[in-house]
Amino acid sequence: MSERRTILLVEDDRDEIDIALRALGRVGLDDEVAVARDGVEALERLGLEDGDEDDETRAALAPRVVFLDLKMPRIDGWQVLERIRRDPRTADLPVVVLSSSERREDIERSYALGANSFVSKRFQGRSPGHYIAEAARYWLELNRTPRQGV
Amino acid sequence: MIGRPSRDLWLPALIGLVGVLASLAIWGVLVTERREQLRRSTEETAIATASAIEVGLAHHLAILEGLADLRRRFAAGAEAEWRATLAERLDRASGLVAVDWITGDRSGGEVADPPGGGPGHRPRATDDADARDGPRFEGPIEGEAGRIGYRVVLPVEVSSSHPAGRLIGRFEAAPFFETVLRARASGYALEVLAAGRRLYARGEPTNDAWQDWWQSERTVLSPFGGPWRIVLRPTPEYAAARLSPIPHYLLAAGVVLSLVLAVLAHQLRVIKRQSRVLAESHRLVEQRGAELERRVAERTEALEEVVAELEAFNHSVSHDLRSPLGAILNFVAILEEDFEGRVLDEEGMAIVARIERSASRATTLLEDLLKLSRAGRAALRFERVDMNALVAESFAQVRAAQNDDDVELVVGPLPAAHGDAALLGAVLGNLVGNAIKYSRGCEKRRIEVSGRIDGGECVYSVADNGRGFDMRYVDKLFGLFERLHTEDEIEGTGVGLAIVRRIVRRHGGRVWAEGRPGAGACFSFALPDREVE
Repeated sequence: MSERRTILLVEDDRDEIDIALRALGRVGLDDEVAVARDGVEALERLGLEDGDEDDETRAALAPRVVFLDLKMPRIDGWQVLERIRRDPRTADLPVVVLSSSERREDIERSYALGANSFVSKRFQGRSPGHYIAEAARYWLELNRTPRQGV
Repeated sequence: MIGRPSRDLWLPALIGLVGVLASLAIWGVLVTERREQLRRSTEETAIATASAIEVGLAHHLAILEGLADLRRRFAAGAEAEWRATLAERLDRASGLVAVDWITGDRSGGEVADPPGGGPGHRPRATDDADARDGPRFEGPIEGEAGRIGYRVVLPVEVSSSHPAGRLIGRFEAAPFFETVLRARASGYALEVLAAGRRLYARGEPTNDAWQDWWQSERTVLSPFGGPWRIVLRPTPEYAAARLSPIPHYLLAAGVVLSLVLAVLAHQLRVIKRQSRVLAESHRLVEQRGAELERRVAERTEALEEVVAELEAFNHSVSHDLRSPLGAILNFVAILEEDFEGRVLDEEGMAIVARIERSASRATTLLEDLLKLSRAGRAALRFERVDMNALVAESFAQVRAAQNDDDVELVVGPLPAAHGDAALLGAVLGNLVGNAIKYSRGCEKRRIEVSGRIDGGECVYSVADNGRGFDMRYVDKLFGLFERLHTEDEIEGTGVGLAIVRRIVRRHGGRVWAEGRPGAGACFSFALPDREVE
């Protein structure tokens, strides 16, 4: 745990990653972001992948919030969310779903699977990605343990 | 197929032939039996008749012998007594018309005339060598008026040394036979022959070609000697009565039945073959039908697949295009916010603004296309919809979205609809939105929503007093991407009315529009009135 990465961004679209990082940069959180480019990588970074648990190609992270895109190749966001909620180590991990969909069934399904927030990637007219930044600050603040003197 | 008719005909022909032959056999047996019966009875009758004649002749002989005795006793003289006795005896013997006495010396005799006359034939004395041996028959003799008769010559001996003479009995055949045969052999024609010549005949024989077969011929043992015969044949009436026509009827019926059976057998075969052909063609038709059904099902499935693919394509293209367009918009916003005045001058910023506007339009278009896709794909949730409430809600939403307050809404009482509230809301939102949009800039803007139930339909109309449209283009109104105004005049994507039409049609309804340039437009849609259900 040399790295201190408190935010795991799971997103396959480079533009979206850039926008999210910029928004998080504005609030000074960009250093804390680890990016997984698809569901498989996300599960690896969370140490939830099947099989090779000893294969430590990447350092397992213990993020305090996950931003999760829904539509991804191979393992989609809902499957990742299911795995996160099923594992006791991550069952309580805050997950913010990021989606370009605004369909009611997608939103309902996300919450039914245990999402904590649902944020639309749709263009909001100003300060792109600021919803992401605000969600990140909200969940990090909420989950920050009182700092103890070291 | 050439050998087919003969193969089809042999069985019916066989049935007909066997039937006819059987009928003929039965007929033959019955007819033969009856004819045999008739022949036997003819024979029996002939025997009885012959006996009766024999008895009658014996009687005659007895009378003659009695007379001969008398003659002996009266040997000579006593003529008066002889005559008296003779007359008495003659009365008792039918057919005996006269008795002559010829004395032995041939000097002629006294002739006793029969009472009531008779054949006036005077027999001539005969001198036969065998006259003395017993009675002798002579005849037939044709007498007066063609009456057939005969004579019996009886030699009389007074003593062995004195032949006294001959007693000649003259007989007329008809009275004798009529008396003897009065109650006999009725129904038969009969003929009595003596020495091969006809002595007596009665009745008409049958003309039947078979009559010889029935004919019965018997010899009559005459005490007078001479070959007498009788021939019996049934009369036509009697034969007809004895030979019942039933066998003929049976034969006719049998032949007809055989023919009918043969025809039926043939018909049966024909029907069987036809039904085989029918069954075969039926099977073929069914097979073809099943094949057609299968192909229709296949095509339908293929078409449904294609439609589903197109829908999915539409949906995913719209959906997937949103992300890059969103990215463009986001980066444009980043440029405007984060780099304003740093990288781009005023002209650069104007270009950025145009990029943003184009991307926005594309995004709106995609949003509308997604709505259209949803209008076509979403499962309808039918319920009772309060259309007045829905109009009010839609109007509020649209007015807020378009940020347009300067418009009056008049809503009449609307019949409740039966449909999907969300989709009907989209219909009203589009129509009311268009009404607001296309009346912008006009004075005293007024949107009037009215409804009525008409012929099993709930009809709703949204009318405005805006710029209206030319009815020449009414067909284009509801087409996808069809617009009557440029984007610069009035914003829009040309999808809204297509969505309206798709939703109304999915509800089983119809949609139409009326308008006049500068005089406003009226859009109406009708839904089936399902309130009664």
